[in-house]
Amino acid sequence: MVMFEARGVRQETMRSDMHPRHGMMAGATHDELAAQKYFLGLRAYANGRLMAQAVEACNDQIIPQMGERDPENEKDRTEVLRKAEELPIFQNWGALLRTSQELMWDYVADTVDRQLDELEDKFRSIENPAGSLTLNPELPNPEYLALVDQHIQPGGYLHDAGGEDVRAGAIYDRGAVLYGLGRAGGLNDMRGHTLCAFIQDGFGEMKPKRILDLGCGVGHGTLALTDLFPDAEVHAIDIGGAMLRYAHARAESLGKPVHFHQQDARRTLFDDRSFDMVTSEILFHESSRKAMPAILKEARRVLKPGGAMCNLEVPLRYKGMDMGSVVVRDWQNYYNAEPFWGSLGTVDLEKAMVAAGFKRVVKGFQPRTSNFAGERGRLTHQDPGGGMLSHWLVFGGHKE
Amino acid sequence: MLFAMLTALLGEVSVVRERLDTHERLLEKAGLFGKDAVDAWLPDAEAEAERAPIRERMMNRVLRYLEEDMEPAAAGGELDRISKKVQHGDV
Repeated sequence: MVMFEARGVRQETMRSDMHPRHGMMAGATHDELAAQKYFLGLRAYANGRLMAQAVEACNDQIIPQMGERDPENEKDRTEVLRKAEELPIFQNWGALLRTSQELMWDYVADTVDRQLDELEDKFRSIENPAGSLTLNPELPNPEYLALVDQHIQPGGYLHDAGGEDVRAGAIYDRGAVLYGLGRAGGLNDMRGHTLCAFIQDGFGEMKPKRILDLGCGVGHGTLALTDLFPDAEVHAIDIGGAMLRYAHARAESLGKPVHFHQQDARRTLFDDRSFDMVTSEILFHESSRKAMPAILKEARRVLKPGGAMCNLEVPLRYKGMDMGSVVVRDWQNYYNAEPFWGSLGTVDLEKAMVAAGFKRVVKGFQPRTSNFAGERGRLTHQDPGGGMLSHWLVFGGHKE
Repeated sequence: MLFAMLTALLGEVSVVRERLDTHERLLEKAGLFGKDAVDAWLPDAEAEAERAPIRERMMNRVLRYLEEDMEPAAAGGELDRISKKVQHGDV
């Protein structure tokens, strides 16, 4: 996820969303909340005026020197970025954004570490779970995830001290509240609801009995699926053990039955043709050029004939964007530890689905919603623009 | 830039200091306690023990940048190397 879109933070929403909505969310004290609100102001400043000036300086000073460049060409992007990095305003923007991101994790870690024992106790004392948790501590980390700490979260998504460790999940969940700037939904589930809306609009005839959610993290999207299909058996996999312990405890505190497994999405342990639907939510931009097709192929393997895969991704589209706006986004590859982020913006997702064997492939833009069952916009196939404040990129296909 | 930021930060601290002063005066006016009571108050061992880590944490947070080499990866091409790996199919 990119460190953008900070303008227009609604303070009212922010206040209410910064308090626990489920049994595992680490609640903040007065001072912790004050620090986290300071972060929001810092982020809004960096991504508001400062970023606009960095973009403008790049377009006005770098592009005339270098000539027109193709936003979809990686070499062009990198060359412009390297030149832009010499501009003082670009350096100031980058330094402030990076510092704000480091502070964010620092502030969130304060809140989580203060009550880590209690959170681990909650995990330890789950009674009569509606779902389950199957860990595999021997599972090797995929190299593309082990290379960096995602979003510069210290230890990344994968850090796992074993035992009852839930820290990576607790930090990620609380961090996501801040990261989403109050617009991620009460349970950080706005994207999950948007994915559900896509399933309704694009695959409305389906009544899956068994669902597999890939790269579930702490289950932000997974739980929305249990609301859309209350009679389905929902399974969810992720690599991070501490993420999954937290996800399990979080789901149980909300009474949602989900079966969590520590597995690699490129090669799961599930049988051929064992699911009716496979889903993912902002998974692929954390993968790699090589992993993405492997994950799609694996999804098709575990699907039953007649089943479908449905995905939601960040609507990053470089085509037609001015070069300044492109390079402030490509900057994230390097300084927000998301090495595949920019490249995914140029991948032909429909082609990738077809190459993995999917038929009747659907790609479009889904208006964001925090309640798929309420009043909401419909799936559109025309690029509406507006970024993730208005629409998310969705794609899916059938196994025939 | 650092100078300008520090100057702005000083401005913010001044505002907070003044507001604290206002609080002390209003508290005194309300018959609770005033500046003298604050100055005369000595923290006991328990209060000191609680304050030390607060001070330490604040210092670590602000001063840690002195100990961190902020751009080793960029300078050494490490970030480029990682990005190429992920973007071009090695991993």
